[in-house]
Amino acid sequence: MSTQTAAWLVLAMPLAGTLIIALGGRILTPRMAGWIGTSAIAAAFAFAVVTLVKLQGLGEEERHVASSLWDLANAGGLRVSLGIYVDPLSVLMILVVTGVSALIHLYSVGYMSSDEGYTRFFAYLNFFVFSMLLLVLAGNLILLIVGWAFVGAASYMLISYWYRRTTATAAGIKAFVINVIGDIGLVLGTFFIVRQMGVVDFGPLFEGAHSEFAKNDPSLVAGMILILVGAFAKSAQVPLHTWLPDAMEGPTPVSSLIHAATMVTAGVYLIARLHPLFEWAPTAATVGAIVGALTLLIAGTIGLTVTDLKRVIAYSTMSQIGLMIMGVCAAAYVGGLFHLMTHAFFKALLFMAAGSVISAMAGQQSLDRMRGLRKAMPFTFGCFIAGGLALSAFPLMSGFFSKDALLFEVGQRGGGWIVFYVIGYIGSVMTVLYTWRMLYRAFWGDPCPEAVELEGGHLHHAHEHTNPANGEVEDTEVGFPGAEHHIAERTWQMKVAMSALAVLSVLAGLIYLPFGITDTFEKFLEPTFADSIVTHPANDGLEVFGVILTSVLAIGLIAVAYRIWAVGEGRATAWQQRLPLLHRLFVNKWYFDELLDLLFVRPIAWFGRFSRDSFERVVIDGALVGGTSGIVRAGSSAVRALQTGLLRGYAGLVMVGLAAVLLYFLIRAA
Amino acid sequence: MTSVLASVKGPEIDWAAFSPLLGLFGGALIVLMVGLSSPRVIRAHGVPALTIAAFGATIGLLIWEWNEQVSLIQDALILDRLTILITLLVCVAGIASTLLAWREQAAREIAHGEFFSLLLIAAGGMVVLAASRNLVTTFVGLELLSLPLYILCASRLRSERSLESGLKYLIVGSVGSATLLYGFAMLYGATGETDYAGILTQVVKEGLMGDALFLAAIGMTIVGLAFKASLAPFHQWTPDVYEGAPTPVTAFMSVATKAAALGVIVRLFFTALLPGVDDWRPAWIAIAVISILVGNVGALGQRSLKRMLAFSSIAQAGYLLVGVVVVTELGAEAVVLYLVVYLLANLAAFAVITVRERETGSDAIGSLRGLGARSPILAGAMTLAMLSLAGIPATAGFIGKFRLIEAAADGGYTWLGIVIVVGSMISLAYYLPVVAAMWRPDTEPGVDPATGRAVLAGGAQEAEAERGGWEATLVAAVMGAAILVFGIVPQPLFELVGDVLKGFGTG
Amino acid sequence: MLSTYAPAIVFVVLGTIIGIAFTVLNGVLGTSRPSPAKLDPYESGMASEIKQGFRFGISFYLVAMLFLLFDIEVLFLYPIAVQLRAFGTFALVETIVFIGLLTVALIYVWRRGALTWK
Repeated sequence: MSTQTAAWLVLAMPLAGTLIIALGGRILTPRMAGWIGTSAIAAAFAFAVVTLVKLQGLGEEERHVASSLWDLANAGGLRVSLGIYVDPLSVLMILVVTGVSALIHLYSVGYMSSDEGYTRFFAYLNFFVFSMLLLVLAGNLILLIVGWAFVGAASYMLISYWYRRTTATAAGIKAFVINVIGDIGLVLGTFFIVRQMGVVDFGPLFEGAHSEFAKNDPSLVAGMILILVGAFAKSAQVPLHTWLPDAMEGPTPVSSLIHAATMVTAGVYLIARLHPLFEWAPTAATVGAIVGALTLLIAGTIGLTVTDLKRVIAYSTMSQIGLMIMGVCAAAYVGGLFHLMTHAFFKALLFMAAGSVISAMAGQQSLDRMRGLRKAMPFTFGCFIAGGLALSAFPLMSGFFSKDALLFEVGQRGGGWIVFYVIGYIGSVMTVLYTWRMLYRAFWGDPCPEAVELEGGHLHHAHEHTNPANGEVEDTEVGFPGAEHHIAERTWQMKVAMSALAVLSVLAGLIYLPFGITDTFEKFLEPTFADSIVTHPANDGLEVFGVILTSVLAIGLIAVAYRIWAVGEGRATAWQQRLPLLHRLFVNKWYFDELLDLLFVRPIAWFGRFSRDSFERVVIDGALVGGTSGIVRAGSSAVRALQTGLLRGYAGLVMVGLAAVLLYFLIRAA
Repeated sequence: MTSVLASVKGPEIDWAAFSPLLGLFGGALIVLMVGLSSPRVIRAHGVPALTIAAFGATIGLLIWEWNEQVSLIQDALILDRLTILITLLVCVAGIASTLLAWREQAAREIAHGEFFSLLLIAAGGMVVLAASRNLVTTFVGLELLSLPLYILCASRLRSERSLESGLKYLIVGSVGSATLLYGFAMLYGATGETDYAGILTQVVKEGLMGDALFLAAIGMTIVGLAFKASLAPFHQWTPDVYEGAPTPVTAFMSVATKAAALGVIVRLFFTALLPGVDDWRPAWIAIAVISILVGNVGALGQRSLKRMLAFSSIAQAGYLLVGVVVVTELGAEAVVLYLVVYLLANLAAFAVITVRERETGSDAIGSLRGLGARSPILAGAMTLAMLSLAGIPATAGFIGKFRLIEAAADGGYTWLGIVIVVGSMISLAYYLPVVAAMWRPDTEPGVDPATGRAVLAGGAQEAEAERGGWEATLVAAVMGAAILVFGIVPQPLFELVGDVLKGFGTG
Repeated sequence: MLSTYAPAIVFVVLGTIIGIAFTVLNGVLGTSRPSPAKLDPYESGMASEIKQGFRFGISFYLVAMLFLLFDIEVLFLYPIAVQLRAFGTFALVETIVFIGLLTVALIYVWRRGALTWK
């Protein structure tokens, strides 16, 4: 099997899974659908591993393989093919996507098993994986856009999965609208580049960029910034981030897979994939780094104050992705992608553990209600600790090495980039604080009633199922969450999936240790980034400093958090009272929703009302729609009126037509 | 006198290249004779089986002659890639229609032998038409395809609609044939030649490009051919005839006649009449635009599926013409590609209509209600057919339209591409309701959705399945699958129609 | 080119005009005093026995049609028969094929019962 074949098979597996589950809906039992979905992704992972092995078997220079099935279009001098591009970067992505997805599918088999839409869930989930793989394997910009849009659609379907929950459908629509804004950016940006270059395939695109564009060419910068808008929307970066917290309305495995581990990292992947172009347009890269840094800070502060368990992790995700975007824009590719990978592991794990906690709380998500779950759910607690330690970059955990590598590479560039280096560490401070705030509040202290009940061996069930967001009463029929809840302690599929990720969260750092102890990861990615024009001068002092600083921050701040949230009853409130303005700002998420509302929604709504009342009624309704549909309708009745069924009428019309044609030709002749 | 006659020699005939035609006509004779046998089984099942065998043999002979370019019978006919492709389309349509007609009432009423041999003869006429390189042969081919179709349309002897349809087709069709014949006569009068090649040389040599007689001849020819291809404003027979004719015959007519007519249009106008391109192009463009508009607009609000598809076929013929008027090789390829795509979608749709008609006795759009739940294969095929006709991506129809628009843009007629797009947009308004009707649940269980009558419990269902027949379902499934497959993997189609003009001018 | 056809066109036009003119003039100038004898066909003769309800048997038409078909088709054989030597083997084969086809048609018509008088 060649590299290409294996890569195509990676793509084919989830597609086959989607089709089988979607079309075989009536024949398959829900259980079978779940296992088919899971095994399809597992098979995709297996083929991804084969792809990796085959790719590594090639010489370092040849480790980028393009393969095309057929031409989609070949018009106007532009050739677009259904082609994939396999190089270390895309192989890394397919490994992460299929690996984490397989585990989350497994988790969902248990977690979702009482849901009425079980089959539909797996069809969607498989479709998402297919779209994501299409995105990362795409061999040209057009196919990438297709994958990009598919991923957005899959995300929409999964956020609104419980389609009878009003909050879920609203969140789905919000996510979709913002994603479409991003899609538009991406398409326009692509247009800027294609107009100049005339190719869409990645290979020729990267080779020709330096000759077609001057460095920092305005049209290139404009194109890249538009593409960044696409990346920002998908990766929930300021100010297009507001959909991500709302997306937590989806089932927890979805949050884990899409809104933590894979889809939201698409922006990071996009920047890394297009790095030759970004490096050639440094202005755009700087813009990206600034937005990433802003997101890192803003999301961190919000994460410190929100009380919804899933939303805390969601803001943490935003902030971590801000860090990655900042990293890859600052040409810290290896560190950025390394962090992408470890983040996928520990963030997926945190969400899975959160799902287990929420199940134990009978669907409640508020941190205010949780307390002392430590004894009741030892396994979940262990996983939460593993994920939390990794997230807060506790020494020797995977997150420690990846964050360290990322910030070190940023710092290596020196000059103005030092600002970003510092911001990265400020972000780290907040990361540790909000992570452990969440942990201490949920697991320490006196057990809450639900925890006591669970310790007594009985899983708490609500008498009435309500929407945690607005308290609406729900029944458990189709379109709402199922009646039964599943916790990791009692469901082996969840346990297996979480254990695997916990091990990865702890150990994955070993493939890329500082001071050149291990450099497997860097060596692996080298062929992709060999053409980078950014140099990273060695700086041993900075490296040592970084390692020490990260360790000190993590250990020290965990202790501080312990003082505030675990033992110091009331200390947190005291802080809140001391800084009321700041707290209000953070709790209200920096008023971003309101800002967007004021800046975009209201003017657009006003303009819409104005248009509807004046412009639309007169011009559109009257002239265009009324006119067009009127013309069509009138034409339709005219055609039918002529269709009398009488032969003489037909013959008459024929004669008229014949006369017209003849008249035309005789006039031509004259 | 004797000396003139003495110089007449038998023409050289390349029997191998001639064999596909012989397959069809020989098949027609055999089928006719076998249809006389007394055992009912042979008449009802042996005859259609033999018909399929004849079509199959013809396809086999085509494949044998795949790379040949031979001019036949002193250049009266030519076997080239275009002929082969059109013949292939006709034969596939023939096989599908035979399968649809297997349990057809009409075949029983006018005797199986007659029905199927007429089908074969019509197919042969289409092949002659597409292959002809001489005005006389062209006309012979045209009549050879028309006359059997007149009879086939009227073959449900006890149905008034069918008889009316046949009679109308006969009368209006005769007007069309007469016009065409008149045009040919004038063409001969202007050039003194009946050979396409001869006409071409004569026109160039004599400089007849602006000649009134020559141009009037072109005008008449255009009208006559527009008739056969059911292009507006010469389309009016189409809805009535399509609706009244037995559904398998409609299926065959809508697909195969169109293929043959487009074949002859491409051949005649790309060779003999090419010098007059600047004169005839605007006329064809006008007809194309009118057809697209009239077809799409007329299909709106139709309640009979067959009538709706009749109007839709007028619009589709308009799209096809766009590939002709650009007069490029890409255009010709797009035409043939679109013919393939159109064949798949129309045959799938008519197969489903055949089944539903036998079950409910009606071809109203309402009769499809609840089909999605009862027979997902049929409903799936119909959905794909409708989406493909509308040109939705991931169906073959999209590839076809895409190619046509590409050809239009490539030939400098981008605005015609836009007309196609606008037409397709209007067409969604009548294709999608069909899809919606199918996947909507039945109004009331136990009530026949089409007639509103209560369905008898128990045995009725089995009897329906028997009447529906598996052959039609097979056609629907195969065509539906092909629509999907070619929508996603179009490369084989591109390869099939590539070099369509290969060997075009040979002879 | 059109000038070649000028005499024909003139002829057609004149013929039409004169024909119409005489019909019209007849109605305008002539007197009209109809009587039963004048309204008879040819203004004379025996009263027609045939009433509107009279019907031929359908078999009559069928046989007449078949006769015409075969008769006219056989007509094609005459010129070939006259000049068979000039045309050679090809014409002979062609004729045999033609007669073969006719025979097939005849067999079909016969077996389908079109020749049985009902």
